[in-house]
Amino acid sequence: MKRILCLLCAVCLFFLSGCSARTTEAQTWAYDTLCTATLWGGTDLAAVFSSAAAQGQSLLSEDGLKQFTASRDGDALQISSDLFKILNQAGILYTMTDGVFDLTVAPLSELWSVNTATRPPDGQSVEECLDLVDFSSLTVTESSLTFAKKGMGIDIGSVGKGYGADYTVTALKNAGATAGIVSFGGNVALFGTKDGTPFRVGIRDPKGEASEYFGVLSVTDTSIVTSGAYERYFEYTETVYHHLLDATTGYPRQSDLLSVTVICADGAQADMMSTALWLMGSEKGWALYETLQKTEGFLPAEVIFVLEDHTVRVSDGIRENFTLTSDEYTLD
Amino acid sequence: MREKVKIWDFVLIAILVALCLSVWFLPKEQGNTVSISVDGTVVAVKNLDQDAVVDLSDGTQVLVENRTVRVVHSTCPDHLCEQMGKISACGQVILCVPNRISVEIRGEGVDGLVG
Ligand SMILES: [Zn+2]
Repeated sequence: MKRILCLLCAVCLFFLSGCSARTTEAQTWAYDTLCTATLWGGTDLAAVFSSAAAQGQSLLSEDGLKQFTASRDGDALQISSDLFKILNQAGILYTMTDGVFDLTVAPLSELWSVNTATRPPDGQSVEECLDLVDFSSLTVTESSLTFAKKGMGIDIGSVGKGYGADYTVTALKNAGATAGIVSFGGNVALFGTKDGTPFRVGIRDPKGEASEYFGVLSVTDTSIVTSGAYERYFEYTETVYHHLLDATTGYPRQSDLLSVTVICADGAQADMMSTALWLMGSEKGWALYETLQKTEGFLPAEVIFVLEDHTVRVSDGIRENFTLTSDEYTLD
Repeated sequence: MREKVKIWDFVLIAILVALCLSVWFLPKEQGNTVSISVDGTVVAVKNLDQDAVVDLSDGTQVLVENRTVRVVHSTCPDHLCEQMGKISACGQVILCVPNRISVEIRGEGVDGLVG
């Protein structure tokens, strides 16, 4: 009797558990944003996740700074080899976008402070600030970054989320995680599968609420980053001012794109690429994407462009993994 | 005394069996969109919240009504797709093999959100 009972218990527990492996839900704050993870396998993964997120944040610059502003002309920053790689890619993007995408946009971003501002800065301040935005005046070596002018700077945090998500994934794998999905404030990194099925990642509807998405990607072992003006903005006298600044004019850039999503094994590259492609708009942006696919120093990437007219353009390599789920949009 | 133990054993077994069975009889997750594809290419995605008629280029007609989906008209020889009736739960599919059409209900469930 007892034996039958035990067997029944075991069978029932098996069914009730839904046959899926144990998962860990983890949360931590880094890069001034909420970072979350759902993880399979391993033990104590929540602690690994929190410490890796904090650690990755300080790995880009030698002294762990998230932001750096030159305190005098010729001020320099010790950099890691990872940041050196990022700066190389940023330099190529700077050239290919004719300076519209500029990693040294930090002083301008701070002037606009789109997160908290209620009105745009005056034209005079924008002009003055533009003098401090010039990637071409940087001196980059493998271990240092030198700024020509006092007041110039870079916001490592702005490219750090994609990098940081990648960094935690490596740490989690080393700690025995078999699969997981990591999100750093909307920048997603994935590894492994759930019982053999790829992860389903929704891509946010640029015209919808924060929880709404217009399509789903079935992918694994990659990073996904989306850029769009909807992320951060304020309104002043019926004009929308968003956070994607044109480094040549000092003002928010007009683009015919609602959002650009980049899928790439390198999260930092995906992060910068999505911003640069959005800034360029649908036509120049797509041409830039195709050029980057053949550019040394850039990993292969896939992209999803959402145009103002609600058409969705998906690159060939990811088309089969993408499903449109909203009838507000049409596939190109 | 012995008798009592047995009775409680049976009660326990009954509860556990009921629990197991309930898992099978739980209502399936309701779908939210229907994805219609021809030859593997998605040609239409409709929200189940809104009734709609979808006319495909080969004459097939798909009806979305009261959060259910069915093929109401087909040009295929066997008309099996029409006979499959209504689908509404996540993962359910109507196939029209001769015309290579698939009608699939998709759910809300995603593992993560980007953007
Ligand atoms: Zn048929």
